[in-house]
Amino acid sequence: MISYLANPQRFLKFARIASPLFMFGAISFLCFGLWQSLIVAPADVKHGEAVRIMFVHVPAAYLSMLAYTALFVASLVSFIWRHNLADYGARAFARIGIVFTALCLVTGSIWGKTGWGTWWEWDGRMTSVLVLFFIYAAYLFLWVIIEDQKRAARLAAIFAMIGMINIPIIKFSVEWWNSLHQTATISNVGAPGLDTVYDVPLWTMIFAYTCLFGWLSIKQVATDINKARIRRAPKTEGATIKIEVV
Amino acid sequence: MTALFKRDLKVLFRQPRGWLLALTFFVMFLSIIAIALQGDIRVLNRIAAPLIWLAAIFSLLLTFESLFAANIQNGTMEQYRLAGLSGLSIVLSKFVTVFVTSILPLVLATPIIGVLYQLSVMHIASIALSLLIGAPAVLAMGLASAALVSGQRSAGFLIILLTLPFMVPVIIFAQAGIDAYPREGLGNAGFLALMGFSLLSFAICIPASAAALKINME
Amino acid sequence: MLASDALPPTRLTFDKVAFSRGARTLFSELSFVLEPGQIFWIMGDNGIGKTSILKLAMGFLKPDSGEITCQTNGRSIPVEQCIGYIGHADAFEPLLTVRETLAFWAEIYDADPDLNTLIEGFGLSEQINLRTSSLSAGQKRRLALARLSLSNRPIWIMDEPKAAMDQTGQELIASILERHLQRGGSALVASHYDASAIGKHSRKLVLETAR
Repeated sequence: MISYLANPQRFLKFARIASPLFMFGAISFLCFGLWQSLIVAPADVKHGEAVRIMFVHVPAAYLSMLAYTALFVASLVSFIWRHNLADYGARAFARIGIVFTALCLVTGSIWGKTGWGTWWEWDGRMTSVLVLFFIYAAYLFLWVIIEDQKRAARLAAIFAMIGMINIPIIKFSVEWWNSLHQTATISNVGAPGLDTVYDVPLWTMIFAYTCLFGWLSIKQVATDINKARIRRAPKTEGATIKIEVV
Repeated sequence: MTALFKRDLKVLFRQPRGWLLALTFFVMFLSIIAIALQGDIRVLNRIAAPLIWLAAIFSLLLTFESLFAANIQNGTMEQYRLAGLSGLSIVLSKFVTVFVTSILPLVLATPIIGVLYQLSVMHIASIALSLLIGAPAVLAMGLASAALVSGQRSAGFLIILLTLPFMVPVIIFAQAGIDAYPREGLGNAGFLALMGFSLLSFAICIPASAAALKINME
Repeated sequence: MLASDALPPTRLTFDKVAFSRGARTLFSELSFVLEPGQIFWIMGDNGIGKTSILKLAMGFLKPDSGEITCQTNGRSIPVEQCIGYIGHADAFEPLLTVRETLAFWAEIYDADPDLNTLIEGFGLSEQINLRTSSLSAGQKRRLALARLSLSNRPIWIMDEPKAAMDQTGQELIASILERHLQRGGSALVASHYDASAIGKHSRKLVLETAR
């Protein structure tokens, strides 16, 4: 499947079919999910109406990790087989990933305001999302600062792979630290231990986000392919060579 | 490999401004913070460990900008490669030389901070130990970042940006180890985790740096 | 002062090499064989791709298609074992002295020369204990030549070796090249303006823009 799509031509053909499919999926899941989460779902006993933030927040948290995993896989492919499409893919995943990570932070902060009464607490989960955001940012900075984009792709891939190995350790260390220092007042409130009545809206929203991710990344890669094609000037003739006796 | 190491060491000793700069920055940074906190010894005592760690990380990373860049620009890297020196040995040699010329002075300078901050001997010893155990992680990550951006403008800034997220476990483990040191000694969970992270970073980042250098030579 | 035993006969082959930089094709089908004892002068205007040919030969650049190989007695060997190089950049550590520099490279190349005679042979006796940062451009060139001959590699790749060289320096290059070819070595030299016959099989590779 990956090697089949590795050809830009075939990818564009695939994108023409897949992109509308994902778009349709994203829109319909999103409509259904929003209706479910904003209207159908009852207010929570403990958190009241604020529980609805979870339906935006939890899928965003999930997507921030999904995008990084995709970024890692694309980077691995790019590093081993040096393929343009993997590079485009990696950058697209990172761009989308950082947006959803930011969304996760913002919604988490709003949730925190209702739950903790402050916009930010250094709780384990939020802190590791924040560090993930920094890793995304550093990754994208590499693309911006290194002018030669082919080189940028290969270097950024190395960075993404180092990041992948580090993320679980960062998560572990932050949670450990959290367990050492957490004060009693904020414990548990941040945990999305949701009632089963919320399963339907939550899962619908997760599907919606996944489709959105698929749609945006296919779109982005297709755009990159087309841009590269436009930039490619008509092939000039190479130099001719004559070998003469001195 | 030994030839390379001897050469790198000789060059670093002939150019003391690199590590002197780092050392001066280290002491100055920590003094300025003490001044900003109006010399409140109680506060300083509480935050000494993370402050010293941050000062160490920054002062190290600030010297990394020219670590590989000069060798790439003046063609030495090309000559190394044609001579059959592997990227790994080039990076390893840098690792060892920086450890000797930068980390050791910083560790030796921590007692000075201990005096300035009025830290107990136990406290300053645990901080110095944590630096020694955790420094390989900082170095390895820093080297990888330096190799990634070598030859770029504003590389210095970028090295810090690329390295800092991965310093989160280092700082957390170090702090946990320092806190537990008076009760549990060197073998406490924090120091063990720090040691593990140092080993892992070394194992990942040395080959990653070699790969990045190779890409940056093309 | 220098080894005079025969070098392993090594052949450098470019087979239908295509190479482009960004959108620009530098060459679409470059083929030649550099035989032992032979020197090729690569000539052509600035930016036409002389240095790229050298870098392709050394494996620093990868061709879009085609093959570049070094072979000794029909066996392929990696560039790290057969190529010595003088580039535009002098590749010296400014803080080391001339003697330390050559001692270091001798160790890297696993050579054991008499450093004093080597340095004398390249006209650097007076600078022997000076740091390389205080050498003139021409003196650095001589030092680079000394390193090249230390390497004891059969194929020499040189990028504008005569730049910044005075008359005696240019004669020095000619004489060490001649000895190198006599030992069965070969050389690929990018040269903007000059191609002199050295040995019996000198060739000019003239690059021209296609119309």
